[in-house]
Amino acid sequence: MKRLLTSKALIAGVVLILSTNLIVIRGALGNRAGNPDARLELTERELSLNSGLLRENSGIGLRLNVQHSYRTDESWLDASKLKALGFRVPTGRTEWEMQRWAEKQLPRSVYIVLEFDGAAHGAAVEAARAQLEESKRILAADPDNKTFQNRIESNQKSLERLTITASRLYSVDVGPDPQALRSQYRDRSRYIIAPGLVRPYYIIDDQKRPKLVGAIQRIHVTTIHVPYEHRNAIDSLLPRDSYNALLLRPPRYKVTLAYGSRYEPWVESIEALEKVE
Amino acid sequence: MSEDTKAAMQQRVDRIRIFRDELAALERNQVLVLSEDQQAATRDYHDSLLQRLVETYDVDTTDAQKKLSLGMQVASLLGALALAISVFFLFFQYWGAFSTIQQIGILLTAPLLMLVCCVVVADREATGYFAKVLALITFACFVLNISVLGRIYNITPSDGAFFVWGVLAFLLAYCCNVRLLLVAGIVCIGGLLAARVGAWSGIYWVDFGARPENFLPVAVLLFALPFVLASFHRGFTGFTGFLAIYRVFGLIAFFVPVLILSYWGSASYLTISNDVVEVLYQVIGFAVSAALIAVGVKRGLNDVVNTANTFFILFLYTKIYSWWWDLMPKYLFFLLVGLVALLLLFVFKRLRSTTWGEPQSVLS
Repeated sequence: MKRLLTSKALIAGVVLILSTNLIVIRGALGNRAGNPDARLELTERELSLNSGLLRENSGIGLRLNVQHSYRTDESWLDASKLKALGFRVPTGRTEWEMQRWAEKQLPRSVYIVLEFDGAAHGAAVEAARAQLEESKRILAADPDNKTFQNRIESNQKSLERLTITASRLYSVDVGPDPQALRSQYRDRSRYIIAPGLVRPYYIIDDQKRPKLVGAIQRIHVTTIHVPYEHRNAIDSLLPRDSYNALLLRPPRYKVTLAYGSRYEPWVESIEALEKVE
Repeated sequence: MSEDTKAAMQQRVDRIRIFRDELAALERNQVLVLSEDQQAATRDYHDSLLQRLVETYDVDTTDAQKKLSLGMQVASLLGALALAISVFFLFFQYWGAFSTIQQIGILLTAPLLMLVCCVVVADREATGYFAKVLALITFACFVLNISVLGRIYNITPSDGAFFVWGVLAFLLAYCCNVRLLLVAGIVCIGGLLAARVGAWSGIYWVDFGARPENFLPVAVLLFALPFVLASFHRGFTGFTGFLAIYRVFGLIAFFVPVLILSYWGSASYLTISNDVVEVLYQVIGFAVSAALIAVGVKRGLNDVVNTANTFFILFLYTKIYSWWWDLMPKYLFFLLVGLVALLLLFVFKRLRSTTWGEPQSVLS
């Protein structure tokens, strides 16, 4: 009888399991060694409790909420940026050919710069405030205008959401080289560099002109594990339900989030914030 | 005990049963009548052989036993799957209550412990059912181990995980003769290769499925592998069904992408018109499936014939649907589908009688 399940197979299995664990843990610890690439103090606005978790899961994850601020008429992720990312953007093609080219493209791996509470957020708040003022001005001229009565309410809510609950983390740049991006965005307490995916789209912009733009398709790590030693501050906020996320309420905790040499994040600390009624 | 040896011994037992039945029929028809001494010698030899095989290999000597064994196989498969799933749920139910070190300790210990249990049980158990269950749980524990480590440390997902999962799946599949783990190994390593093919053309590995052509090199490799492995498998009296699994998954890895591309040309790497891409893959689908039916028939590879046959019919019916569904009333459409089925039946019947021969040639 030929017996295959020998001690050699057992040794091979044990070596495989141990060496894989060793490589994974070593890489993860290497990411956290030395000075972090970025260290930021974020709140529940940027790191909400992951409501997508199963009921039968006792672990806690925080979801990194990123706003992609670019609009079709003022996109910073334009054709020249796409070329810099390695997309071979064709020239002198017809609209249909460009559309077909864009359809064929698949996402590319890039590094994305995330700005915390900076100019992008300020611009978004200003735009919302200006929209509200504009609606008020129109309503003042025509007080019976039902459309603008409703619009003011929605503008008001948008502004409140932006200033109270919405994430202040915005994607502001992308590039193939994380070090080049870091030398451009030096403030490590304001700018995160995170790996993700970008792909081109061929769209019709607000002026009805065809235009090639890029879109951030995903940031690789957006669910951040909360270790047992840091979960005290947010344990009382469980159970997590998705309806709470819709409430207009100030953040209930702040998180010190660090990004390491492999641009992978971890939670350094979590503190409960004072309750604001 | 090696399960493949058990399979070979079971075949021997089956041959003895068939021999006894046929000998009885020959005696009844006065074609061959052994003398009493010859009958006694044959019976004694077979009885002692059967007793030895039952004691050593736990083989089935009756139809009832064989049916029960099949039931045990199904039970062990379902049990293994359920236990493997329960490992995931059990861990996630309680992992929040442990520190990071404890979590890593549990994640690392579980596959190691299960692997040792698998070896010990395989050594002591004659049937191999429990060893197979433990092999599947070992694999599930290792998948959980690596995927949760990635989650604990917020690691960017990597296709490297498929490599180590695939290696362990192959190791356990060959050690415990578990076909389900062979499939898991093929899926892991096949997925990894397809992802790497995609990465060479500049796309991120997660999107490897968006270009079905990434699977074509994997398909060729899987289909060719049994020819390389045949001598290795023969050295161990053949792992039951392993070579067929490689071939079938090779064909699936070929025909599914071709089927997708024959209706979704925009997913192709080819930069020619989508319509041309679709026609090209439709022609490839029909031609290759027909050719593989012929090759399978010629070389006696039933798995190749059946898989190629299935895809040929699938290509045909999807084409019929796209041609005629909107053009004709439904009664006529289904009438034509039925007629095509009858035509295929006629063709396969002709093919069967001309290639596998008449009953007398089988007997001779």
